Formats: sequence, structure tokens, C-alpha cells
Amino acid sequence: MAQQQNSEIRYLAPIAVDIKRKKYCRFKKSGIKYIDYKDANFLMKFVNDQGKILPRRITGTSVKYQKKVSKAIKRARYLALLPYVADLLK
Amino acid sequence: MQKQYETVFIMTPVLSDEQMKEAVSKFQGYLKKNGAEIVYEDHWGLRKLTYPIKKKSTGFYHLIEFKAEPELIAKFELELRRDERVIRFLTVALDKHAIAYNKKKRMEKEKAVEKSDEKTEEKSDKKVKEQAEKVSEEKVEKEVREEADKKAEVKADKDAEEKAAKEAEVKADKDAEEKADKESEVKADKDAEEKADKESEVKADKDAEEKAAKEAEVKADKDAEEKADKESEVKEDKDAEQKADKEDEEKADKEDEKQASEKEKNK
Repeated sequence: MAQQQNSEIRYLAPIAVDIKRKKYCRFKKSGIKYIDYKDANFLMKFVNDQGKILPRRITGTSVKYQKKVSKAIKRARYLALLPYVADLLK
Repeated sequence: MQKQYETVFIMTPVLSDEQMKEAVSKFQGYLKKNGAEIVYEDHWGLRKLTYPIKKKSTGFYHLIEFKAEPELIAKFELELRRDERVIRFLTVALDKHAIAYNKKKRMEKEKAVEKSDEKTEEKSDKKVKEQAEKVSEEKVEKEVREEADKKAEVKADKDAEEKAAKEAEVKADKDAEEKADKESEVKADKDAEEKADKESEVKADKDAEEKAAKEAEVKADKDAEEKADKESEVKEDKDAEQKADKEDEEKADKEDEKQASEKEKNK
């Protein structure tokens, strides 16, 4: 009895299984071809709250547009539209 | 071959409006003088810098979009660098997508300026539409998620039910086994009891026989005088009977022992 109970793992609640949602490149999907370095509010989406550029594996941006995003962010930083370093940005 | 460029420069906030306008017109004049065509100009006004530049935390931003020969850019940048009022500048060459983007943006702005009332309505309409779209997208996503969740739940429920059923089966099997064991034990007990009863009966019979034999002996003693010959025969018979009885008893005892040992084994 006891041995058989131990062999079967029982859960009180059903296990939460995360359904992986496919990431996509928002620029490819919505047909954006130019990323404006002057639009700081938009670029904030690609930056964490320290002001660091988010990696592709998180945003799902394609290589082509990740390059453009990073360039735009760097330009915006140069023009003091975005911070180089920040704390609790957002 | 002219290329399209875009220059953003930041001027110190120390300047008065006039000084600033004078500085802007100076750069415009320089560009025009050197064969550049100014496409668009935008004054952002005083803006807060996200980090201090030359100990200034604010600055006047000014944007000039122009078509010029590539050779002019170095000279124009030199001009900007020489000016103390400019604390930072950035010149960017625009590709076709950037030009398209800037045109679109400008058109929207012009519309906004020309038809502010209508524009606001349009904007609000657009916003409403966009919001509606977003909402619908969100709804779709939510529905998808909910469906997924439900499926997961249903699966989990099924799994749980299956597990429960299996467990129930297992339990039933176990119960059945236990019952069978108990029943077999009970049967064994019953058998043992029955055997014991039978044995007791047998014993009783034997006792009765013995008693009968003893009585017979007593009688025989009494009759001994009378029928010595007969008696001897009878005695012999009785002895034989007694021996047989004893042997039977011993056998019965042995059987009892065997059964007891078997019970222990079963237990």
C-alpha cells in the first residue's frame, strides 16, 4: 500500500503548464521600416528599467530590426532623449 | 548627387529667445549659402535632458532636415562645433524609409495644425478605432488563453479522474485480496473448528467405547468367574479395541499438530 502511494506523485491542484506563445517581430508584423531615434517613448519599450537595451530573446525582434532598434536607442542616448544609465526608469 | 540629412542640435538653456532664433537662422543661412535645400524645420523648444550635458540639465532642441552634398556635412558640423551655444548635435543621413517616415509624420502634423478641430475628431476616431482593435486583439488573446486554460483544466481533471479510477481499481483489488485472505482464514478456521468438532465427536465416541469397554471389563470381572474362557476372549477383543482406540487418538493428535503448524504458516 504505502510503497504504491509513494510511487505515484499526487498533486493537490492541477499543475500550471505555461503555454508557450510564439514570439514575433513587431516591426515585421506591422510593417515598420524605419525606427525613429527621436521617439523616446517608443524606444522605451526596448529598454529595461536600468536603461539597458533588451535582448532579442525577450522582445522577439528579428536581427534586422534589432540592429536598427539598438542604433536608434544609442542615437537617442547621445541626444539625451534616453539615459545611458538609469534607476527605476519607467 | 544630393543626399537627405537630418540634424538635431541642442542649444544651451541660458540663451534668450532672440539669441536662440539668431543662432538657428545662422545655421539655416550657412546651409542655404552652401547649396543645401532645407526640407523641414522643427523647434522642439526647451526640453529636459535625461542626463546633464556641460552641467546643463535642459536644452533647446532644434531639428533641420535638408538635402545637401555629402561634402558639406563635415563643414556644417565644423560650424556647429565652433559655436559655443550648441552643446550637442547629431547629423544623420536618411534612407528612403526614413524620408517616407518623416514625410508621413510631417503630413500628420500639418493636418493637425490646419484642421485642429477636425483633426482632433479624426484623432479621437483613430484612437477609438485603435483602442477597439487593441481591445479586440486582447479579447482574442484572452479567449485563446482561456480556451487553453480550460483545456488544461479539462486535461487535469481527466488525469485526476483516471488516477482516481486506477487507485480505486487498485484498492478494489487489494480489498478483494484482503477479503479473499480473510475468507480463506475464516474457512480455515471453520475447517479447523469442524475438524475439531469431528475429532471431539470421535473422541467422545472413543470415550464411550472405552467406557463401554471398562464397563465391559467390570462386567467381565463379574462374569469372569462365570465365563473365564469367554472372558479371556472378550478381554483380548477389548484390549485390541483399546489399542486401536489409542492409536486413533494418537493419529488425531498428530493431525491436530499438523493443522496448527499449517495455520501458523498461513498466518
